[in-house]
Formats: sequence, C-alpha cells, structure tokens
Amino acid sequence: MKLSDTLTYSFISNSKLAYKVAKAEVVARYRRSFLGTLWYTISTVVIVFGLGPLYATIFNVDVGGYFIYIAFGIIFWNFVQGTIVESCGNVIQHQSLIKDLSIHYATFSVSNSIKSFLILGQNFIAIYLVFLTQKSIAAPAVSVFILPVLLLEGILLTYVGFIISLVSARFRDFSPIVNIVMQLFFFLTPILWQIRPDIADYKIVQWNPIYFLIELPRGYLLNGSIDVEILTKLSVITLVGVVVAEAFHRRYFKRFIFWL
Amino acid sequence: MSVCVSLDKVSLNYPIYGYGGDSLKLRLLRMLFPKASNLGARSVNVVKALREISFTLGPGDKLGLIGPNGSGKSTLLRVLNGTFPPSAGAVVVKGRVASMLNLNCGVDADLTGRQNIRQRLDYQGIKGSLRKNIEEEVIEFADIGNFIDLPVRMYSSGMLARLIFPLSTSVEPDIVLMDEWLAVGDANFQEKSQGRLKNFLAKSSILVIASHNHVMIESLCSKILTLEHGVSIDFREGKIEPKEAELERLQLSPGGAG
Repeated sequence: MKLSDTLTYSFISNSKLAYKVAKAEVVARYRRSFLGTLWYTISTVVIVFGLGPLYATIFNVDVGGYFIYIAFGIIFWNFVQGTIVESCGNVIQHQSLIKDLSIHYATFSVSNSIKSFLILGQNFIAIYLVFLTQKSIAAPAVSVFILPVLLLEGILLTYVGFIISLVSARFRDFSPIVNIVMQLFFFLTPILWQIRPDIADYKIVQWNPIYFLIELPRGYLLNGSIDVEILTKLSVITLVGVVVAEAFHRRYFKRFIFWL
Repeated sequence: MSVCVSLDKVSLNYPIYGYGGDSLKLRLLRMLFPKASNLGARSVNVVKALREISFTLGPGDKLGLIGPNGSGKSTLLRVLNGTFPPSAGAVVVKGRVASMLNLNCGVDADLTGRQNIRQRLDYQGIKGSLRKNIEEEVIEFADIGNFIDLPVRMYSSGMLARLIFPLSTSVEPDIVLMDEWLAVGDANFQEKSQGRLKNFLAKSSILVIASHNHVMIESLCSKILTLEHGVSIDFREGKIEPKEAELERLQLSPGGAG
C-alpha cells in the first residue's frame, strides 16, 4: 500500500480545501441573520449566566469560580459534541461534491474539525471578554500550551469523526443513535457538576472518553497543569482511532460511494 | 503523457443499500435472533450495471454512447470520471477530465453568483491569476448584469444556467464527459452558448457523450457504442466527420439538460 493511499495522507493533502469549506460553512449557517456567527457565542454566554447562579447555589460552591468552570466546560463540550454530531451528516451532505467534482471524502472530516475549531476559537475569545467585564470573576491566565492539547483532541476527533461519517452513510439510522448517546453523555460527564473525591472512582467517570476530552483543556486552564493520566488515555484513544480509521478507509474506500 | 481513455473488460456491480432489510436496527436484531425469518434479507441487492465493457480512445476520438434508459450510459460516464470504481476490469484515464454530468453540483443558493464562481474554482483547485481571468470571463459571458452580486436563490433557472454553463466550460480539459447535449438560456443565449460549447469541445482531445439524439451522435462522434442492460451490443468505428451543417442543425434541436 502506497503512502498516498492512506487516510492520513488524504487528510493532509486536502487540508487547504477543507479550510475553505469550513470557513464557508461557518459563515453560511448564520448568513441571513444580523449577528451572524456571534450567535454561536451568545448561546454559550446565555447558558453560562443563565444556569450559573442557580447551579452554584444547588452545588453550594462559589459563584465566580463556578462561572469559569461551566463556561469552559460548555465551550469544550460544544467543541466535542459539535464535531461528533456534525460528523454524522458529513459525507451525506457533501455527496454531490464527492460524486460530481471528485473531491476526496476525507476532505470533509478535516473541514468538520476545522469548523469546530473556528467556533471554539471565537467562543473562547468572547467568553474571556465577558469575564473581563465581571469583577466577581478572576479569569485564569491562558498559556499557549493549550494549543497542542487542543490539536491532539482535534486529531482524535477528525479520525473518530471520519469513522462516524462512514458508518452513518452506510446505516442511516446511526445518526439518531449518536445524538441520543451524546445527550446521555452531557449528563454523565462533569460539565455542569463537579467531580468530588467520593465519585471519582465511578467507572463511568474513569472510562468516559468525553470526560477526558473536556477535562484535559479545562483542567489545564483552571489548574495550570496537565493531567498526565488523562493525556495518556487520550493519546491511546487517538492511536486506536487512527488505526481503526485507516482500516475503515482501506476496506471501504471503494465501496462507500454506493452508500450515498 | 498522451491523453487516453482505456477500458478493459470493465464490469460494475451496483450494490443497492438502504433498501429492504438493510438497516442497523435489523442487523442487530438478526444478530440477536438469527433464526427469525421476518427480519429482512441478509444480502445486499446488486444490479449488474455494466458487463465487460472494453474500448480504447486516443487523442481526437469522440465516442457516442447510445442505448435505452437504464442501459448504463450514465453509469459508464461515472466510471470514467472516477466516481464508481469498477468491480472487475481495468480503467485507465490519462488527462484532465471535465465531467459535465451534473452542472449544478456545488452551487450554494445563499451565495452570490460571484461567490459561487469562486467557490467552484476552489473546489476545482484553480489558483493564481487564472482564477481572476476565469471569473471575469465567466461574468462577462453570463451577462446577467447586477444579478451577479445577488444570491443565486434570486435567479431564474435560465439565469442560473447562464452562470453555470460558462463556469463549467471555463477550464480547458483533455477529456470531456457529457450526459446529453446542453442547450441553455433563451434563444439569444443558446446561440452564444452553442458556439462556446463547440469551441470547448474543439479544444478537448477526447469526448464521451451519452445521448438519445442519434442524429447528433452520428454527426459529432467518430465511434459509437451501443449499450443494452449494461452490455456492449455494438461498437462502430465510423469515420464520420462532424459536419458543420449537422452542427448548425443541432442548435435548433431541443437539447437535454440545461
């Protein structure tokens, strides 16, 4: 098998086009509204400040700290959930480009991740600006080392998203399943609630990949240090994801066109 | 590298998914209850779309594909443009391919005409000064005035065709794949577009066109392949030159997709 036949090669060689597709789609979603892409951010801010005071009281924690916790939690959740859920319709949605313009199907897994990154970046900056206006919130410093952390997650999500997009092209009832599972994960994952020592041992926390994806960048921002255990787990998942995605590509590359 | 298209005993079995007992739910149920008989078919239905098709085209060859509906003409074109991988046999296509099978693909109704041009050029990987030239030339040919900066969803279908047609014929290809002869726009524009299309085809080296219009095929093509149920039943190698008179006549004949 040649190097140029691998999925990874196609990801890289189509990344420029993927960026253009991603940019066009981010703009496209809110093209006919006045606030445009700002809607992505507004919805985040509404959730943070809508839920924040009530939930801080329920959990009996400091409101300022809780604001930061759920803000980062929700931003990274949106990033992870958005990439996974949008992967379902990815190949199906772009089928005419794949069929008629012979654009490589790998392009759209990359564009999907880039799209999520663009939204994440905007949300991140906006939420920081909101924090700066609030005296009660001490926004933590951001180090540039957050970027390699997010890059690792982006790579993982691109490969996993590729697998999801292929499976949902083959089985059209897969996409509602993904949606339901992700809804479940929203409540199983410490996003609105925080981990206490007495629940840290729960298997559902220890083996929840969505938790790893959210906690790694969030923990790094809040504590200033990387959780090595989570990093290791994520690296292993990424590696497995790459191997499985490559195998899928190799096996189904010729057949997938008939699924569309 | 010389331009060529070569098929050697190409067969295509077209599997039909998402039909009958084909869903994830039914698959899982079948795994759980292997003996149940009412859970749909286990195997995927396959249509034998093409069977052992062979031909070779070199520079200057114009191939016409004829045959009744469902005989495999469009499928064969999609094998040539690389969409469908053959189930058996070998396909060799050397040269830059312009596939004019679905002109409207990739058109975003919310983008303006100009943005759509740029987006299509992105998809085709066209860079640098050529982009600017093509953009200007397409806008000039389309001749739709200020509409070029309005969203495409505002366009009438004729206006959209006036934009898409020059865009699809803006890059100089070696090999052109066409499904039906194109006739777009009002009478005035049709004349203009037929001239452009002829020019476009003259620059290309190989043409493969599927059509029901036998007169057009005979006048345009040097080789004619007749398909029926995916089988090649006749391959004629006439040396019929495309006569100017016949081409003129085509302008008046009702064309296919537009």
